[in-house]
This record gives sequence, structure tokens and C-alpha cells, in this order.
Amino acid sequence: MTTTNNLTQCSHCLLKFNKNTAIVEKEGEEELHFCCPGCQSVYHLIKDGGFGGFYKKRRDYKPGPPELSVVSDDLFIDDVLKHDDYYELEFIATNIRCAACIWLIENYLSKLEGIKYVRANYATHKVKVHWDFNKISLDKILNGIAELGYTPMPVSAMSSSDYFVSLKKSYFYKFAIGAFFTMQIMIYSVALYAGYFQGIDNNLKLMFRIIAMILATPVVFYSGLPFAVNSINSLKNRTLNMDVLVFLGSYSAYFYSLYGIFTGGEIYFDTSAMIITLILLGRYIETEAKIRASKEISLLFNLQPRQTKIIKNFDEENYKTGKLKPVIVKTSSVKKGDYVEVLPGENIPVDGVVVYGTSEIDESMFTGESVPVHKRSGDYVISGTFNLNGTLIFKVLEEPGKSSLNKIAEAIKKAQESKFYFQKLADRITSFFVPSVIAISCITFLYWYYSGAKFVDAFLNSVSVLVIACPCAMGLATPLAILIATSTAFKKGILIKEGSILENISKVKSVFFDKTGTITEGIPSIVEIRAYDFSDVLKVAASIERFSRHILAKSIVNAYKDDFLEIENVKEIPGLGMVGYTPDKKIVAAGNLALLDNLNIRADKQILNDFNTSSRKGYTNIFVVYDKKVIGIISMFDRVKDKFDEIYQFLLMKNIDMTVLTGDTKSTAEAVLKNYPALNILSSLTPSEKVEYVKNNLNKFPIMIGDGINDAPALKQAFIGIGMGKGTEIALESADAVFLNSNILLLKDFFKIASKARKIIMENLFWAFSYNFIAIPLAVSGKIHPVFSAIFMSISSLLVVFNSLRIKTLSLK
Amino acid sequence: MGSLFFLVPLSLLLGIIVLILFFWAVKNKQFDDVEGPKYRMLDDDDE
Repeated sequence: MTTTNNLTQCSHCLLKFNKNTAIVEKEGEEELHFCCPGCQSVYHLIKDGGFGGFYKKRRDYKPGPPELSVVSDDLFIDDVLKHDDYYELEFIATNIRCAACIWLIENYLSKLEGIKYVRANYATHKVKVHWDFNKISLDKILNGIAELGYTPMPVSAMSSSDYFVSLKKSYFYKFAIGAFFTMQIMIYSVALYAGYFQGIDNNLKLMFRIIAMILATPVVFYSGLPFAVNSINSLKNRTLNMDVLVFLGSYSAYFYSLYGIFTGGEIYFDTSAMIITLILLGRYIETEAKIRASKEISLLFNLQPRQTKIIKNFDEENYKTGKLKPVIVKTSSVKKGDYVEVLPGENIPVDGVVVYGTSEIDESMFTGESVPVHKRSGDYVISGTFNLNGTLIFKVLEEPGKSSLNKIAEAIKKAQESKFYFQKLADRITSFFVPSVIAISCITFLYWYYSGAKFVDAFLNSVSVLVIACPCAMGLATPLAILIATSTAFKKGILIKEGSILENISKVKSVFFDKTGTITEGIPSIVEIRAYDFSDVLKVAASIERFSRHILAKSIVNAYKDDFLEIENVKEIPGLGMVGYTPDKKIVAAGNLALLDNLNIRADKQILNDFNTSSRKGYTNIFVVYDKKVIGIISMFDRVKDKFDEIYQFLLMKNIDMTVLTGDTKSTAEAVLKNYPALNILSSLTPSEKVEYVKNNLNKFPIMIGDGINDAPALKQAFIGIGMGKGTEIALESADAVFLNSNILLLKDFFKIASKARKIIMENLFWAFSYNFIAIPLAVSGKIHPVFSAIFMSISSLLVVFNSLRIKTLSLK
Repeated sequence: MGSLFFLVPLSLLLGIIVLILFFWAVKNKQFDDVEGPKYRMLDDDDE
């Protein structure tokens, strides 16, 4: 084990953490350190099963704690394939971090009795098992995997990406055909161009032209089919989009060339195939990015428990004496008025009101506020939140379908409907470019026809306008730049789900922030320790607080790096604090003001004065008690992230409005953000009020950044919604972009990448237009030689490709 | 020069055969996991 500066590494998950919080164990000569009981139990499971080789095998293992949860097999039942003598199931194992995990899963499962076949896929994390249903149950298999920390997920849970997966498959075949044939066509086209300058045997020329035609046919009619279908649909809706332009350009070039073969005219099979292939490549990669985005997010969370423990005919007396036992039912079948039991460490399945017990509930997934909320009889609990330290019985107020989670989902849907979509830049341009090209082409026809040319010649001249205006460069101008910008952003940790948001970044004139967890650390840290005739306040506090799972307790323990006092008989009083005794029977405690009352300890006036001063500053204060005396107050505060300062200055310089939307009270929010005068603070907001504020500012093209479920509707409503990576599933799903490591500083990179992308797009469009500006008049007058126009066309596309690649060179610090 | 009339179509034919082989391999899931096998090869002998 490596130990430096009191940091140690977990023997199982390799996370580095404060040594004082470690669970230490001796194994022979070696000392093992675990960051949590979960890691400890997984370690033993692996060692005892004879799979110790796992720890030697793993390379490039990404540190991270296991998520241990019990899986119910009814989620998977629909996915099971029944064969005569065995059953088959494919599921997704989460938290696979390296190749050794694959080895462990395969070997662990294959040693279970009744397993006939296991195969885990390292790339997709899918595991396929065949088992003898007489010898082993599905439940055992799934929970065997879950105990190792690889919580199984049904493949169907990822159904949101199903559409994209099949789309990607179809694009793949279309692109592969297109790429292969286009490359072949290029060979013959180059030969034909060379032949034009150097001379070529007539028979050979004819053969090359016919080969080019044969090769272009599948590209145009198979690979290019989606463009034809989309254009017809868009014409039906009386709109013009990029696809219409691609369709017009490629199909007219194809038929024009077909005519050219038989009459000895010029051919453009290469152009027609190239544009289809390149744009398909863009679509293919775009779909891939969408699949990756939805996968990343759907794997992050699974909030609402599927099973609920209800107690029939609840009666406090009978419950206390143990006469009432809970019954396990499916969450979806819970009714209004049922009594539900929730033990420490479980999620609240449905909304309700507490009737018995006290506990602290972590509602951070809902509000973004990491300090747990104390709940007792009469308080409301929200589905999806996490019960920390006490058993609660609550009465169900809303049926599962109408819980707070569902209400938020509805608010998101509403925001979606009224979301203000900015038309894609490319579509905006095509919406005037396509009609103009068609108009010019008609005028050309009429001009030539009435000035005495033959019908065929006039028609050919007008088609050549269409062909030459072929949008190769224009079609590639935006998608390619956005694609490269998206992948550059991903490398920095910004997951962009909707690439078109990058096009309009310069319009953004206001940014809305959520407070807790977005601007602030989200976790309170110690700002002040007052000691009263005692030096080691932190030591005493940390020694008792290490027994608690409370977030304030964790912060205190993490701040302390030395040895602990020995403390026994530790008791956690929900809502108050921790109490314990030293071996010589001195009382040790840490907690709030109510704890002092509870223990009958009097604090003198000066201490209470200090307490009040700190409270007014918005601090959370912990009294530390040793031997029946208050020895100190530890003040904690959810500090603004250090990095926020840079973002603040950056946005200030760009003259962008900054507003904080928070559910917190005004005084707390103002105390936290007092160093940032330009921030407009709006406090005590409900989720729907947040949406209203964003909606009222739509003319300023607002960006909204947040992480909680309560931010989700506002994220959806905003012009650009950005979720923080540690946020909740619903928030991330509603966002257009996600900062994977929750680093607010990425906002600066986001702006930089987006502005660069926009600049490159503009340059690309400029190139594409200047080409058309010169080429179209020449085509109208019939003066351009077809070979030059073909070469010119390819060069303009290449310029766009290379110009777009320049986004990668953007230097980001 | 005459040989070109035979060799060029032949090269096309070969290319198309390779394309078909490639699609066959994709359909047979040969490219589904391009990372795993190199580790699997080393792992199997250990135990």
C-alpha cells in the first residue's frame, strides 16, 4: 500500500482518500485499506472465491468505488430467451473499468453451478449467459454480479437509444457502400481528367465512363435514398432543408451525366457520389455521438426503487413490539394511503408524509442541496431521495404515477413544447439558397430557349447550373465543423448532445446558474474553528464524527489528518448529532444546538454569542462537547468554487448577464455570493418559477447551468441547457450539453470551442459561396468548361474539410 | 493496352468480393469487440 501525506489508496477500488477514514485490515504481512465497507466486502468475495488473480491482472484500471445494490430479477424477465434445456439472457454490466473486470465476470459466473455459457463483451459491456433453469435461478446469477459491484442493467433500459442504434446501422451500410464505390469512381475520374490533358484511347475512355456510371448507381440509389425520402417529406411540409439541396445536386448530376455518356457530354458521377458519401459520414458520426450521449446518461442513475415494503393496518404499538411485518410489493402497485417502511440506506419509493420515526434524508438529487434534511412525523418525503440514518414509516400521499418525479417529468415535457429552437444555420441558408438556384436555373433555360438555342441545349445549360451549384462545400460547411468541435469538446469533458447549439453561441446574452453544486462546492467545508480553553477541537470532533454518514461529519473527518481518540458506545441521534464515550467514561459529542439541550449541557453566554454571529453569516455550526463542556464550535460553509471567479470575470468581460436561481433563502444565497456584485440573485424559487425566469429571458438566448432534478425543466426551457456531470439523470437528460466532471471552468472552454466552430463555419460558408458566386454566372452563360468546374468543385470541398480540421488546433488551457 | 480491358474489370470484381466479405464479417459480429480478445488471449492460460 502506498501512503503519502496521509493519503492512502483503497485496496479494491484504487481511489485515493484520507487515511483516517480507512477501514484497515491485516492480511499476512500486508495492511489493507478500504475506503468503504462496500469495497471491503467485494474484496473478500473476490479473494475467497479464488479470483485473487484479478488484482494482479488489472491494468489501466480507472479508480472508482463500486455501487452495491440488490437487483430484482423481474426487470430482466422480458429479456430472457427460453430454449429447451437452457435459458439465455443478455444484460449490461455497469462499472466495467478494465479488461480484468471481463475476466472476473466470466470466471466468477462460470464457476457457479448451472451456468453453461458466459461471454462478456469488453466494448459494449454486454454479458450473455446461458443457464440450466433447474440448477440455478436468474436472481442468483444477477445478484452474484451485483455483489461484485457490476450492477446488471436490462438491455431494454437503454431503449431510448434503440432508434439511434438502428439508424446508425442503416447509415453504416449506406456509408460503407458509398465510400467503397466513391473511392473506385475517383480512380477512374482522375484517369479521365488526366486523359483530357494528355490524350486517352477512345475505347478506354468509354469503358472508364461506363464503369463510373455503374459504380455511381448504387451510391445514388441506395446510399442516397434517405436524402430523396427526406426531401420529398420536407417538400410535402413546404419547407426546404439541407437534404433537398443534397438531393437536387446529386440526383441532377447523376442524370445529367447519364445523358452525357450517350451524347459524349461531360460526366459528374464523382461529384454526385462524393457529396452523398461525405454527408453520410457526417450523419453516421453524429448518430454515434448521440448514442454515446444517451448511454452515458442512462447508465448514471436508477433512482426510484422498484420494490416497496408496505405495512398493512399500521399501528404504532404493534409496530414497536414487532408484531407487524412489512410485505414487499412492486412500487407500481402501491396505493394512496398505504404505509411504507424505509430503512437506513434505502431510497424513498413514493411521495408521502412521515407518521413514525425520525431520520435524515439526503435530498441532493432533488434540490442539489447536499446537507441532509431532518424529517420527523408530519414532514413530507419525496420519492427518489435517500434515507440516511433512521427507520421511517410514512403514509403514501400520491400514487407512484403522480409522484414529484413524474410531475417534474411533465414540467420538462411542457418546457420542451415551448422550447425556442433556433433554426440550424445550414437550413436557414438553404431556405433561400435552394429557391434562388432553382430560379436561376429556370431563368437560364428561358434565356437560352428564347434566344434561339435548341430545347435540349437550353435544358442542359439550366441543369448544369443545378449541378455546379451542387452544395458539396455548403453541405459540408456546418456538419463537419460541428462534428470536429463536438469531438474536441468531448476530449475536454464536455458532452454535446445537440451539435447545433454551437452555431448560435454568439447570440447568448445571459447565463442562469443553479447555486448549490454548480457555483458552490455542494459540500460544506470548515471555515472557522473556535476553541474554548481547549486546543484539539478538531481531533475530538473528527474522532466522534467518523462514525456518521452525515455529509457534515464526513467533511470534518476529511479535514483531520492525525490519529483519533478512542471512543466507544457511539450513538447517532438523527437531526441532532453524535454522542459517545471515551474509555474513561467521559462524554464526547458533536452536533447542533438542540443536541446540547438533549444532553442537558449549558453553553455560556460568550459561546452562544459566537454561535449567533456565525449563524448570521450563513454558516452551519457544530458544537463540540467533551466531558460535559462545550469545547468549541466548528463553522462550516458551502463555499463558492475557486474556479468560479475565473468564469465570473470571463462572462463579465463578455458583457453577459449572470443570474443565480436558487431554492435557498435570500440571506443564505447573499451571504455565499457576496463577493460577486454583478450576480443577480433570485432566491426561494420552485422548479416552475425557475422555468418562468428562463422563459422571460428567451430574447437574451439564455444558457442555464444546473444539476438537480428541480433544475431539469429550466434546463430544457433554456436556449442552451448545460448539466453538471454529478447531477441527476433527469437533469442530464434535459440538458443539451453535459460537463462530465462537474467543472464549472469548462463553460469557458465551451464558449471558446463554440465561437471557434462558428468562425470556421462562417469561413466555410464564405468559401462555398465565393465558389458559387463565380461558377454560377459562368454556368448560366455556358462559358465554363465542365472539366474545370468539376475540379473546382472538388477543391472547394477539400478547402472546407481542411479548414474544419483547424478547430482541433484550438489551444485550451 | 489491351490487357487493361481485362485487368480493370478484374480489379473491380476483386474489390467487390472484398466488400462482400467485409459485410459478412460485420454481420457475424467480428467487429463487435475489438478490444477484449487481446486480453482474453493472455488471461485464459493463467488459472
